[in-house]
Amino acid sequence: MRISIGNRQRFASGLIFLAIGAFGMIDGARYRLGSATHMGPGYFPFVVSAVIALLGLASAVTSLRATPPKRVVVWHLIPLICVMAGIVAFGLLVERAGLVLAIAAVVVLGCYQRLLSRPWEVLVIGIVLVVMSVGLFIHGLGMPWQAFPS
Amino acid sequence: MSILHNLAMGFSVAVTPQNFLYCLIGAFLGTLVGVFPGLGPVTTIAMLLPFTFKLPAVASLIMLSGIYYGAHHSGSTTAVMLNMPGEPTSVVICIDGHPMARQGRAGPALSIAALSSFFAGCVAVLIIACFSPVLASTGLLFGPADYASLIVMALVTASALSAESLTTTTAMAALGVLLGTVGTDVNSGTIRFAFGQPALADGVNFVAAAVGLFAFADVITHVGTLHQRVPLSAKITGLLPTRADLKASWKAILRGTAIGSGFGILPGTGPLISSFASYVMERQLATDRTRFGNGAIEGVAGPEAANNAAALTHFIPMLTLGIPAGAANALLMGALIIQGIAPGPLLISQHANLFWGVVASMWIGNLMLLVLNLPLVGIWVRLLAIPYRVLYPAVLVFCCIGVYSVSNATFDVYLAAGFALIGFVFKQLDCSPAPLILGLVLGPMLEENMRRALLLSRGDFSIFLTRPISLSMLIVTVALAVIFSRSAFRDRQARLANPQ
Repeated sequence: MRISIGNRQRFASGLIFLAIGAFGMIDGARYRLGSATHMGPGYFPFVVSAVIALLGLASAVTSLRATPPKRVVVWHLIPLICVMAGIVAFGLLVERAGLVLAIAAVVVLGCYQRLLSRPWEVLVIGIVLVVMSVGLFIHGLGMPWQAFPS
Repeated sequence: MSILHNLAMGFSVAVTPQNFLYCLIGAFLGTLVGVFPGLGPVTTIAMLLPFTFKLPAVASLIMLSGIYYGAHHSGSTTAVMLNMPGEPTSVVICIDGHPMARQGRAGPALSIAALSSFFAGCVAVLIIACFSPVLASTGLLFGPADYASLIVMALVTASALSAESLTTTTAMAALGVLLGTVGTDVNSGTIRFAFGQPALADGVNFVAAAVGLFAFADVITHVGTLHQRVPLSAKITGLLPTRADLKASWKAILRGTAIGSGFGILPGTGPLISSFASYVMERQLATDRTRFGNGAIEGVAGPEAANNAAALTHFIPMLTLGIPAGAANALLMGALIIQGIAPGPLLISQHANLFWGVVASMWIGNLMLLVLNLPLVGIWVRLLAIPYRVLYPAVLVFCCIGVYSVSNATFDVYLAAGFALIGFVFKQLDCSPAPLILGLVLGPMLEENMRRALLLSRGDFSIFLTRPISLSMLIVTVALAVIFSRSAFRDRQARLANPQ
């Protein structure tokens, strides 16, 4: 028996909410629930998680017979991975290797599409941003950061 | 009248060189951001938020709010000139504004848009000035049960007044509330949901969440999809509207201002709804409906006025009750909290300088926007030639630096990356992140008030229904949820949002 899902996005998000809510209820119960008069630390998270789980369930169920949305959703995963890698690289590099290399990492990874087709553009953007940032933050505002690896 | 006295004080605060400068910067940035379709005011506010902590609270609030209402002013510029709305609230302006441009009447369209925005802005500032003290003193009558119900109303209304499904958006708001519980519970000292990370013991860093959900997720979504091929079609010859134009638009401007002021106060997408509602009203009231879609000036004047009035009255709940009406206001409220100012009914009295200074600067900002939008229109349109692919690396870099600079903690950067992932996934699944940030900001207040209410009532839940203010809040919540979740309303809104 094939179940046809009307609105896929809503079904998926409904399931995600159900999962988060269930997790919140289980994990929230680890903390003392207390009573209504004296709410323990787990009371409010438990109740809110229950609400999330219920809404997720309702969302998933109503999505089964909902009209599919007109918008076609394409999952562009490469921009996601590259930009996130750039941000994480910034976090890894800014204290260990200095601001300049951290910014370079963000620019290089963020502009992943153009590294081969327009490398000079990436280079110019990178240089401008490095100069602006070092000038503004380290010299202008006096932030206690290193520009270069020590 | 004490209102005049307060406004005078506000103006004296707003015209100090520093505040005046930051008002100008905010208006300028707002106009810039409103013109570019890839950048939005919420993203920009999230990006600049960490840098405002070094400034005094008044200056930062003036600048950031300038960005918000400035973007609403200028979104219509590209809507008229290029049939491309700079902001979602300007979609309706494309329908009649662009045909006007194609008829060679871009100038009058733009100037009517600017004039109606300015008029609406003046009226909205007056409304804020008169209405806020009343609302704040009402807020002082609220007990914890009433406040808890008010927060629930705000969260549900914000979800109901958005284009996506009610269950999804309310779940996002609830998720935000749940995220707000991460950290040390004030009453018991227990650390909740920290997963062994010491940095989370203080709670989810609001700035990291804001930047990740809005700025980063926005860039990730757009990098994959935005193709910029923008032809400069219409030329602007005469800027001034004719007498006939003014005669046709003045009633639309008045009606639009009224609609916008009313809808803006409600939590949710007030500005978006009000421009759409104004357009529908103008079309219904017009004697010759066939003009609409072919360059009817009322279709520009009304929605522009509604849009701008709503953008300003949108601030009222946050400034008077401490309830942010939308994502941008949630960010501003988070900024105030970090600066040590507790928003709420006491803000007007305890930080009178801040409140009246911001209100006065809203008027000054509106005046600046009139100048920025009209004479400089050519420059803005030419700036659109800068491709998004040059802008977004700068956004990424400034956001990374900004998040890191809050407490020199790399953990915050990783957290922001995590929120970027969450924001991206939820956007793909048609879940808007705005209710989540609302829930994150309001969650702790909700828990605290619920706790106190139940303590006072000795565990009796009916206190939420027996106190009259609380009961009326909950009734309004249910009513709005029912009214606005009817599919006919959503379909119409969705159809108008996608004119193609």
